[in-house]
Amino acid sequence: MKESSRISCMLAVAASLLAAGAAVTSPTWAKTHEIAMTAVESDVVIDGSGEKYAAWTFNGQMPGPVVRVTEGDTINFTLTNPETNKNPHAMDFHAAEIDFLKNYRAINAGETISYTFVAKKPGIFFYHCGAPPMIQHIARGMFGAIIVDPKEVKALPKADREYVLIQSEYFKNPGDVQAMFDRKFDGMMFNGGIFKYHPFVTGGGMLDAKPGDRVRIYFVNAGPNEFSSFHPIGEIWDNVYESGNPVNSLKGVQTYVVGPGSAATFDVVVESAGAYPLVTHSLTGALRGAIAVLVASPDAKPAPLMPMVPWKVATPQTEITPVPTP
Amino acid sequence: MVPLSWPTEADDSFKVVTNRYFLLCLTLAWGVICSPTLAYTADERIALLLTGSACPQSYATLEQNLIQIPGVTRINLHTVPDHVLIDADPAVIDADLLVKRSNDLLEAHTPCRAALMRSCISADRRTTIGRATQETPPILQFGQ
Repeated sequence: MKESSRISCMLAVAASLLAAGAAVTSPTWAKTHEIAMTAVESDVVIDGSGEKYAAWTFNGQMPGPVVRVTEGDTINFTLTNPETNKNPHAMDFHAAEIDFLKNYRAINAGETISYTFVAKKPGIFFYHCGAPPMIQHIARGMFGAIIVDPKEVKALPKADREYVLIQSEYFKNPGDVQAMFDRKFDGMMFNGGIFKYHPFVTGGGMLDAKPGDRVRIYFVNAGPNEFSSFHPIGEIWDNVYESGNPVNSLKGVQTYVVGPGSAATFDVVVESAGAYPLVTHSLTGALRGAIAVLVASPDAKPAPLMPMVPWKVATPQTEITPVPTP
Repeated sequence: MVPLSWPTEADDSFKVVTNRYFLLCLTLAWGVICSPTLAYTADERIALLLTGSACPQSYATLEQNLIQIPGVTRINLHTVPDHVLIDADPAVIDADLLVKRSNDLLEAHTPCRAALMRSCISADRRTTIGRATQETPPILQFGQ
C-alpha cells in the first residue's frame, strides 16, 4: 500500500471513530431543551370556593409546569430567584444524575443558577425546591413533574388520554413548619387543589375520557410526608410502571403505593361509560381532598395534561365580581 | 361627581363632598354586603341521582324550575351522567327539601326519581378539611 493510501485509510478510520463517538455522546434523536423557571412567591387558589394560599411556586403555579422530554435529551436548566422574593430557593430534578452540591444549592433572591443534565432514564419524575427547610418549600408548592418519554416509542402501549396528577399535603398555616414536621396536614391535594377534580363538590371539575380509552396517569407524590395508596374505584390498573420506566411493569394492580418523592405511571382502560374516582386509599387523605373523578362519556373532549392548573374559580371569594346569571 | 382631589376643611364644599364620599362608601359597603359572590361562596353542591327511563326527558323541566327555588344558584345536568348537580345556599334551602321539590317536578316524567347521591367518595369541602390529628370530622353534611 502506498504511503498516501495508508494515510488516507488511517484518516478515514479516525473520522469514523470520531463520528461514532459523537453518536454516543449526542444521539441523533436527542434534542437539547432550554428550560427556565422562576421562583414566584404568590397566592394561588386551592379550592372551589376561591380560597387562596400563600404559596411558593415555580412560575407562579402549583404544581409547577410539566416538563416533557425524551430519553437521551439534554436539559439546560436555569432557575431565577427574583429580587422581590424573600427566601432562597433551589431546584432538584429527580430525572437528573448530577452532583447535588454544585447544582442543587439554594440561591438567594436576586440570583440565578444554571446547570445541564441528560435525561438518561425514561419515566415520570418529581422535581422540587431543595432550599432549607425543604419540608416547607415543598409543602408551600415548589414541586412539579418531568416526563421522560422512552426513546423507543413502542415501549409503552399507546395511550388515548394522558393526565399528570401530583399529590401533596395542604397545611393551613404555611408558616407553621412544626406542623409539617408533625405531619399535621389539613388537606390533601391533587394538582394543588382540594377536591379539584370532584364534580360533587362546589367548584370541582373532573377528568374526562371516552369509554374504551386507555387513560394514562403520570402520578407523582410530592408529599412532603404522606404515602399515597393510589387506587381507581370501579376499575383495576391495567398496567403500573414504577417510576414510569417501561421495564418496571406490573399488570392487574388494584392499589399501588407511591411514597413521598416517588412516582409511577398508571394505565387504565375504562371499559364502559361511568365515573371512576381515582383516590389515595389512605382515606384520611382521600376524604380531605385527594379524589379525582374520571368520567367516561362518549362526549368527552380533549383535555390538557394537567387540567385546571392554575385553578381559575369562576367567582373567587376574595374578589367582588358579579356572578354570571345561571 | 367625585372630585379628583380631596378638599380641605377650609373648602366650602368640604361638607358636601364628605357627604358624597360617605354615601359612596356606604354604597360600596352595601355592594360588598349584598354581593352575589359572597352568596356564591356560601354554596354547597348537592348531587342528586336520577333513576328511571324517563329521566332524559325531564332535564329541561328540572333546569327551568329548580333554578327558580330561592337559595339555588346553579343547576348542572350535563357533567355527570344521570345526575343533577345543584349549587345552593344551605342557609336558605336544605338537601332534603331539594329532593322533595325535584321529585314533585318529576311526577310529570314517570318513571324518574331523584335521590341524594351517597357513596364512598361523598365529601364536603368545608367539613372534611381539618387537622389529621383531630377527631374525624363529619363528612355526610348535606347528605352527600
